[in-house]
Amino acid sequence: MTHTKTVSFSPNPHSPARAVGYLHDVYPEKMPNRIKRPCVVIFPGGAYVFLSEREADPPAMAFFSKGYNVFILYYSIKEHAKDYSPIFDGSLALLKIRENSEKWGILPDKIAVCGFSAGAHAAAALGTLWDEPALKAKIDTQGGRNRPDAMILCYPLISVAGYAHSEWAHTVFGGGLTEEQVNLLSLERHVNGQTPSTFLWHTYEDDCVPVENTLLFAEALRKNKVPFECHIFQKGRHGMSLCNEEVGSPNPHCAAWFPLCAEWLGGLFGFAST
Amino acid sequence: MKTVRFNPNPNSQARAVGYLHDVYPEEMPNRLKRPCVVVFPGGGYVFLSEREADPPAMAFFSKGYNVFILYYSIQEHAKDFTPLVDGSLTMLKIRENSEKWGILPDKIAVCGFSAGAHAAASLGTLWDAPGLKEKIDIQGGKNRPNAMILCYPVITMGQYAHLGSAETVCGGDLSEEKVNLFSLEKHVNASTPPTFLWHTYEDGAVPLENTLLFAEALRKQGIPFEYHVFQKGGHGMSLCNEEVGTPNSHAAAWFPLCAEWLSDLFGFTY
Repeated sequence: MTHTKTVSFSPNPHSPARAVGYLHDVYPEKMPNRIKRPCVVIFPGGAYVFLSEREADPPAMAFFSKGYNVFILYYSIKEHAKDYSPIFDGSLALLKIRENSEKWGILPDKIAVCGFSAGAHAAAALGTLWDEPALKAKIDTQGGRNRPDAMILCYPLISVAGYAHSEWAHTVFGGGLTEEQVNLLSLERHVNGQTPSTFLWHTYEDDCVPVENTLLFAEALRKNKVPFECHIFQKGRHGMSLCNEEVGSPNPHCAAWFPLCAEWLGGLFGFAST
Repeated sequence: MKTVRFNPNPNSQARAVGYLHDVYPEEMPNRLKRPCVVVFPGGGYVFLSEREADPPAMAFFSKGYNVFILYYSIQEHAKDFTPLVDGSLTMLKIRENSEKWGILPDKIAVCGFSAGAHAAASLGTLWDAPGLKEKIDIQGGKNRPNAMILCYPVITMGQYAHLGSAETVCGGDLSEEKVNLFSLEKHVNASTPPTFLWHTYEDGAVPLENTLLFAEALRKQGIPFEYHVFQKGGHGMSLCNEEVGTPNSHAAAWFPLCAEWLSDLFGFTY
């Protein structure tokens, strides 16, 4: 019987963010292939105004059951999300996980981020802006140890250009977005050769975050020769998480995203879960 | 199973082979008529791939569809719109015989591979093109497919073209006019049918940009689609199984996903 160890920490002294980790116990004699494991850090969605429970434990447990050690990052939201705190939360969480990788049984070069909706914006910000001078002016990224090794972006918010003056921008950023903020937060503009390999999925019918977000990001990845996998299902609404009964939005067709994603990540990390 | 054959186009060597389910009115009353899939094998407009003919046709047949394989015009016969004329005349012929062949005439999909997907997609985008209607009577659009399935398709003749296909289908004339005409992403409009696309990122023959451009064009026109990009795997994997010699268990997901998508679109439960 495997017992799960839980760890939690507050990555950023300047924000209310907290991280909760579920770690596999280590059995050196009986399970010598599993001394250290790759890791997935989950960023739940919620438009930067709440943190969706349906996109926290359920996907974390799905990756855990495939053999990954997992963390859920409850990053900064609402007025705490301004000045782009979530990218500091994420950077500091990755640094902390890598710092403790020996103790926590994590392979420090096999850490993926997996975000949903606005959480995918926070995750993708980490993958595209991890080396941004404005970020490095405030924290020591230790030569890029805040860079994720892979990104999993589920119906992601990528481009904020269309929301610059929306109510949402006012709530989250305390006013309309300046041109500079729009530029910084429209992540398709920041993909470069250092952006990690990415898995994307979305639905055509999503009427909350339009599929253009994913199409723009896929195009930017392609232009920068960053390998990716992308699944656009025609039917289904926004925010289906694992697309099963557990999360209350069953969609057996779209539910294919998780096994496809687990196969993709297993291939990328050379980590067979079967 | 019944086999039928016909030559759709008196001015080309194209031929169509159909595999039709037998009809059992008493024991299987739900299956008097079935939707249909017309398969266009690939081969860069210079040959017709066997791996992309019978195997996918039989895969759809086993899901309950009646199927045709269209061996469209290739090589020097591929110029002057001929594959599009072949495809149009095939659709007309199938609809004309739909009663006899047990086919639902408003549930006919085309499914093409590589250059065959260019031929199939030309039918979905150019079925109403004036240049085509000058040559044949399309009977008010009875050549239009009701759905398209495009597997690692050749779409564009521009920067990201598969050059061999481009030269052949344009009859060696890569003028701006021909390139524009056969770059199908430029012809998507509101009457283009819903589309299922798949491709691999690593495809070294037909670059991924072909599907990225087409997906973008479909979205701009409000045409619903489903689009799967697998990272790994080369060009031309057909069903991605041992049968066709290119097993790839991950990318093989395209067929069940496609069958689910088409079944939902046509309201056809197996």
